Amino acid sequence: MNGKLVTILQISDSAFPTGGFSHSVGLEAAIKLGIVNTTENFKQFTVQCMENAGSFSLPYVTAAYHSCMDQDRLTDLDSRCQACLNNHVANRASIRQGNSLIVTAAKIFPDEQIRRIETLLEQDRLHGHYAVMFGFLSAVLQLDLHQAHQMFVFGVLRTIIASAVRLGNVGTIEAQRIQFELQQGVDNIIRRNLRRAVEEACVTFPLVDITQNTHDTMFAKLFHS
Amino acid sequence: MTKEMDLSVCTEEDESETNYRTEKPQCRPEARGRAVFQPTWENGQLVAVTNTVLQYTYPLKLLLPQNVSKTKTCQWLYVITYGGGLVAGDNIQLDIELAKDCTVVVTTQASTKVFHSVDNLVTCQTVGAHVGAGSLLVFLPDPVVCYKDAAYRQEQVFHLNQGSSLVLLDWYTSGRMARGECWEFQSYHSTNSIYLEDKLVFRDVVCLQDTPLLPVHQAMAQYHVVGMCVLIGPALSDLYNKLLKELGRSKPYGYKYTKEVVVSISPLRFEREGEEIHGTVVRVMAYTTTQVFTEMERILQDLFPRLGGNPFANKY
Repeated sequence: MNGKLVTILQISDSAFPTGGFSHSVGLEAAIKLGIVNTTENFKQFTVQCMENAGSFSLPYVTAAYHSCMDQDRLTDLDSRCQACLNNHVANRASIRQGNSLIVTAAKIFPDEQIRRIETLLEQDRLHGHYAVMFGFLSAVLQLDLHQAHQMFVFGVLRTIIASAVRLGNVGTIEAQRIQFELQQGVDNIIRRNLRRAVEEACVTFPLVDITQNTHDTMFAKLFHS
Repeated sequence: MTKEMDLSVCTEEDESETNYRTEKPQCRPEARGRAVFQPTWENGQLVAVTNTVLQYTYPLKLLLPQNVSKTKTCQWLYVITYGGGLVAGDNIQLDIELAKDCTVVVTTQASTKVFHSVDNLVTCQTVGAHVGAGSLLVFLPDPVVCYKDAAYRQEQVFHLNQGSSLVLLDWYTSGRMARGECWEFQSYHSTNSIYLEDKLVFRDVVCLQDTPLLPVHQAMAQYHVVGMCVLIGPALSDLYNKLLKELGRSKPYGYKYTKEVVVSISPLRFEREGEEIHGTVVRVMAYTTTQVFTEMERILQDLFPRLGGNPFANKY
């Protein structure tokens, strides 16, 4: 039986309650600022976010995946992520999603290791950054590293596409067509960042980061980030 | 599928080419510079900041003009490179040390120009700074301007102690705009790390270069300047609290958003052995260099009395 595929489907399903759908990865601010106003620059915005997920977050996913049994290393990675994610909107989104991923997983998957991490979160000994928690969980659930990477970058893409639909900027069919087009780049991003260490984790396209950083100054907003 | 999204050009075989430049960069042996500052006390009062060590080798030059700051309790250090810019393979390493209770401004006379890369050589600049307790280091260089085909790598590390403060401005532009250059360099890699004692508390790494999915000039659209300004430490608490209120507040109803200059702000809070250190990071993206100069001058103006002048005066 291919247990992995159904696990992947379950975690990637929008019914899996990790709260990913309350985030727009900065799209809402970009639209408000007038930076995203055509299909073409929406696609470019999305690619920039995916590239940043690859160059900034994937190294943490990889490192946490390889040290899923080593709590000290996970704590180090989490604390490093905290120092590097100094955009408070991205930081908040990362902590929220990481925490709900673990809390949800602890209730669903009967695994001692997940519960130990949940305890560390409860005791405030971990911030619980999403990339670190995601890498850890993928390893515990015995997914392949490549599948974990795909799910991670796919998740960023899917989140942006879904928020664009909900912000009313693109229709559902058009959104899926764009998603299909951009999905073709996922493996390319993963391949380029496969051997990137956390010390080399970086932002490739800074503008989307700055745009997202202004999120809290909007008068009215639909999303958390 | 649009042309720029065409992935057929990137297959498994050319993986090494599409990999980011993560190996140690190729450059010449370093040209070192070092500047050390000490306080001078008289009858329990700080009367001056004195430079005790000033060393540099070609192509680096350090200047300490004595008439730019109106106060003796702040020294201004100018970092200069011969020949109007840095060429491929130049490798500059600058160390700055502030003992306790010093205020020092580090700036430049003009933007740092980086010429095109030759023989895969990278232009490197490394800065290491130690800021003693009660000291304030104000690091305000002009922007880095990478010319067409330049490859630039910068690493700046700031070591703070309990009670020391730092202003760090790091910014870069799209190139020789007057010649129509627009994000045509090979790579711009910048790392800023801030340590409190031995703990990494802030790190920002940008590695700007074309990817097979998106060239930099497309991602940047009309933006020509990107920058970041970090303010940390007790000497700056009034300033960063004011900025967090002013720049971080919600826009009023009906506010007309402009995209020519986008300024964002995040609070910073670190904990080290029970003590909390606060600060803020301001980020900016803009169409022109002048817009960022204006913005930074406005943001930092409350500091000018302590510095004995305006480091942005006559610069734009």
